[in-house]
Amino acid sequence: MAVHVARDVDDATRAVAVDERAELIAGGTDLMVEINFGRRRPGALVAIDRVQELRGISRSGRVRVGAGVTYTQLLADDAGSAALREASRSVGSPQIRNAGTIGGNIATSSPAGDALPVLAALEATIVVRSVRGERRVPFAEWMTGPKRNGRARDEIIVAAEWESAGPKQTFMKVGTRNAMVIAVASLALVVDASRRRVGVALGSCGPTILRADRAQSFAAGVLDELGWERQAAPTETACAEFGALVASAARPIDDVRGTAAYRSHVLSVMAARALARVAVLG
Amino acid sequence: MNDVRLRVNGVARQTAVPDHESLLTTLRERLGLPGSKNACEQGECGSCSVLMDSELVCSCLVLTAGADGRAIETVESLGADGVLHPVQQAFVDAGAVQCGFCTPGLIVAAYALLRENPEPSDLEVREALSGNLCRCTGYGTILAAVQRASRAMYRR
Amino acid sequence: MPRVVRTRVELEGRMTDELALVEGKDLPGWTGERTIVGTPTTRIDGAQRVTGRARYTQDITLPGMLHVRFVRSQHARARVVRVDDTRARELRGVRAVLHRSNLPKAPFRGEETIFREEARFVGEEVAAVCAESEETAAAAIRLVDVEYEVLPHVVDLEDAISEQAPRLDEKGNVSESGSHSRGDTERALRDADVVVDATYRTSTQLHNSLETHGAVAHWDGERLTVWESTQHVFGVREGLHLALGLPYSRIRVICEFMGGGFGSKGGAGKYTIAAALFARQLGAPVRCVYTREEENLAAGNRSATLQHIRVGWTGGRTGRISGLEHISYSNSGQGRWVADPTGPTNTLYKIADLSTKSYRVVTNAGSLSAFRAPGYVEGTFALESALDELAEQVRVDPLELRRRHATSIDPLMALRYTQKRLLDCYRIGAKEIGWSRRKRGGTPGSAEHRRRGMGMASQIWFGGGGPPAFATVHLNPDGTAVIRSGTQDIGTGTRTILAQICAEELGIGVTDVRVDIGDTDAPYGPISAGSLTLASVGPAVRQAAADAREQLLGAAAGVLEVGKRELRVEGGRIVGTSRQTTIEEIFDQLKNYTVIGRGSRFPNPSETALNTFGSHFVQLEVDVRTGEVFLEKIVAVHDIGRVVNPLTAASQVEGGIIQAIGFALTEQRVLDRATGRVLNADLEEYKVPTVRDVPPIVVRFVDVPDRRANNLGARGLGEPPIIPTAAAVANAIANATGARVRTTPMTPDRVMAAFAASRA
Repeated sequence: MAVHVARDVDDATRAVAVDERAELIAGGTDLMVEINFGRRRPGALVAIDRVQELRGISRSGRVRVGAGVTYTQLLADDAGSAALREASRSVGSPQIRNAGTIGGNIATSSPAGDALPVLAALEATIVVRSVRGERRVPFAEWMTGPKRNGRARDEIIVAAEWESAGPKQTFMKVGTRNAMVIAVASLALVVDASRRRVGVALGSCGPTILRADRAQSFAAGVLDELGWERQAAPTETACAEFGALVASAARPIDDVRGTAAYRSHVLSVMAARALARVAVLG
Repeated sequence: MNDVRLRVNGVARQTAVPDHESLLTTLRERLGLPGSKNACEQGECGSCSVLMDSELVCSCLVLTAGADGRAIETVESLGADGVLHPVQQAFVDAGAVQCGFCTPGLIVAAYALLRENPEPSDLEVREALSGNLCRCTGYGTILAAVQRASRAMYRR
Repeated sequence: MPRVVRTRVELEGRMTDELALVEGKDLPGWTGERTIVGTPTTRIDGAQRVTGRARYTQDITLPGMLHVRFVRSQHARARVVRVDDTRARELRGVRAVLHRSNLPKAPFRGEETIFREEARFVGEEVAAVCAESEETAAAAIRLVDVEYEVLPHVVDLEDAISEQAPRLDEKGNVSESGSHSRGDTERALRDADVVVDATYRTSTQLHNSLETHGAVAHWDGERLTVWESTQHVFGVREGLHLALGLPYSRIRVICEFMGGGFGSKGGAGKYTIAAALFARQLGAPVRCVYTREEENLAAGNRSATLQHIRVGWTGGRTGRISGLEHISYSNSGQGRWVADPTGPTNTLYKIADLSTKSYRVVTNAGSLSAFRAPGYVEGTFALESALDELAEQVRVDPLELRRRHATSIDPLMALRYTQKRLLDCYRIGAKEIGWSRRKRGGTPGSAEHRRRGMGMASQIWFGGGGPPAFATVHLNPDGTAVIRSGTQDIGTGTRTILAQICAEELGIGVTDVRVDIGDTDAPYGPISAGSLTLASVGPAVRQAAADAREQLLGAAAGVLEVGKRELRVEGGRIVGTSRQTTIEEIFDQLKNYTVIGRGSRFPNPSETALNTFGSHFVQLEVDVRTGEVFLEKIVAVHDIGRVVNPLTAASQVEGGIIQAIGFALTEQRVLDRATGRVLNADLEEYKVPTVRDVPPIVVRFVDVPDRRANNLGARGLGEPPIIPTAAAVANAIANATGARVRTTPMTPDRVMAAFAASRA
């Protein structure tokens, strides 16, 4: 059968294992466009949008979000990440958020994927499964290039997991209109006060989601001084320097959505605003 | 070809579809329901909006063969008995229709919103309709229509 | 008796001398209050549109229908050496393939066939496949093997102007397409105290009507019937007549509903011709509807422009403009005309010394087609930006500067306007936006990094309409009426306003009027473009309704045995001095008596200029760190004479404004110079405004009938509302921040670049 509607994960992994042509389809928001435009004609399709075990969110210390969780679900059921909520809200439109899944975002691995900078900043782990077993891949090792990642053809993304990082986090994005916009540049900032860790990740600013290591260390230094648990605003100078460090981590290009120069500039502005914002969250 | 059973506007339908066919094509070309419009085939314009198991989706992004067993509601299910649904009546009364090509998708999206949220704020309406492009009206009359429909449906 | 009169006819600024056929005497204008015309009226076809019952071209399904897809050039410029369709024809379900070597002669827009030897832009049609399903046709076009000889190309406007560019035309890539000069501009500029010298650029805007171009053709052995999403059913018929050599009587074109055109659907397209050719060849109905990508490659666009303006000023704060020069270059692609951006410059203000020149530049990009106020949107952006730059330099309020140069005479033709209420537009708009609160240098915004500003701009356009346009009004025995005219409702509400006009004149209710339009079997109606439908077809409908009423009263007088002058029609009844009768009762007596009123559009008054006017006022905020622009309020005031339907008119204005917002802030076709490919031929990367991008819009009309214009006193409204918005936005950005953005769309990166330039 060319199109198989999977009942559960085992059924889906078996279906992709037996048919080499098989591709997975969940919300369809990426793959159906490719199909409609005649760019891809998968020889066989395994639909996983009704696999219930992919649709759960659990939060017992560690957060686990099933790959089939839609953005609408992420907005309705708190996954314990304010940044992920903000990113989910900025995805497409109600129609897209009802269909599109976090697993789809991880699978497509577009540098502009809205959930991805958040997962990177949270240092999430991607859980994949096949008939050969389960594998856990740190997000930092997941993306290998634009729309490329470490998933084997027969593997199904089952979940993303991360340690709950507390309230100090945000996602920001600049686009060219107010709705249904692909990021010209995006940024996730996570300040995990209990672990004394800062995560900064950039979207649409390079071939993969990029981390801003020097900016992270700098922000950690600022928070050492301000107090990690406190709700205190950093100085404007500190925010500006943080912004400049974030921008220096970008590897932007000129494309149809914006120029490299603008991307770098707006990243520095967003980063400065993000630091000022999260520092006072509690 | 894949044998697919769907419940469309309350009626059980069965049809055979090619592997890659979208629900939009199935509705329009096989099931005689051209109310859902084809304008972008990439989920950007919302003209093909339908409810699938009560959730608002772009039918162009639904793989028909993967939707076997699902319940679909299209614009044709509203005001089918000759009396306009309050959402439809509100669109007419508020002048929220110009060329009308985006209208069926907007009607379905507005209906989906008002079913969940009887008294949406202006911001909530804008958010709910942000996936439906209109190139003619300027949207102002559409926003007014949704508020008018909210009043009509919930007798405020 | 019908008679022929000579008249000047205008379409989108191009004047031609034509013969017009008219009958009888034109009606005098309405006097006194109207009860139906001028009242907000909901769409008479609203129910069909909101239920999904309205049938658009893409919804037409006929038994045994076949589907067409085009093979399109992947090269910006290439000679088609050979087309091999063997593999495509072998695919199951493929019925025929047409290309250069097997195509019957089909003259199209000055060429011999629809498939040219040299493909001149990425997306140009090279071959067409007809198959039993859309899916098969889409698969088959990949199996058509085309051998190309790739030739040097140029797609960018400024590249094409340069000496190094490949020559695409024997006479060069640049040709003059229009000029106007009055006074001594060089001397005036030389003598000026201050001269603003600036260059403006506008980007290519794509129409993106929600319904793409398309046609369904059916050949019954005798006659060709074509359903097409078009602004001109008679234009499509003309195109088919020329291409297929069929007599008019054997072609019928129908457009019942269509999903927007905005100028791009003016006549038959290659898809129409291909569908008709296949239908005739295969004896089956054929549908050819563009995909969104095809739409954005091959269905036309608003030309990108490069415009230089020099404008001088003499006499300090009480001074005047001293000389204005406007030179414009338009990227016409392979188009044979130019949408002239200098039109507004020539006519909007009283400027004694003025010189304008417009150039067409050919490139290997998709051709222009008319796009809502073609040329005027681009030109007004440059002109009205330059005037604000001048006002800023000489410290004169921008609105005052415009008032000071107001003219009641068309400066180009030296003719008095039938009516011009632009000053009223200024007054109403200034009050509504709160212009007196505007500060030079802007005001603080809602956050520390935001600035607020106000800007305005003026608008001039045509919209007077004219002959030929015909209509008939048939009275049914039940007292209802049917309008028949070959016009079409492209979404503007034509059906509804025609019903209002007919009901008003005839004395019956709007809901008692059916409007049968969009069919070449009806009396001729003009193209629905150039803001001319209401002002052209409306007066003919009114005349037809009056004619029907007079016939009805004549019949009633006979039946009731009273003098005709004693009777009138009111609220659907025949009202006499002593009694009332229903129309139905009169017809009962007469059995199958048929009343057909006839109406034609009379010529416009000679020796006058007929234009529409307006002004837009914008308030916005700018994030001075990111360059993002946030629109807060737009006020639009228009002078279009009598407003027939305030509900549909306001919607037209708001719709024009969102397209203008797109032009101003987000919309631009992006071409890859190296390959000539369009990088954003879809709705994901080409950004049209969403509901979240639209600010509150206040619409006002100077609702005064233009008694000299036509028997309705009404002028058109399609184009005016898209014209001044972008300039008003640019002017508001400059007011807020001191930075002048001279390129559309004014994207955040361009706004940031303007900040940098203003600091330098």
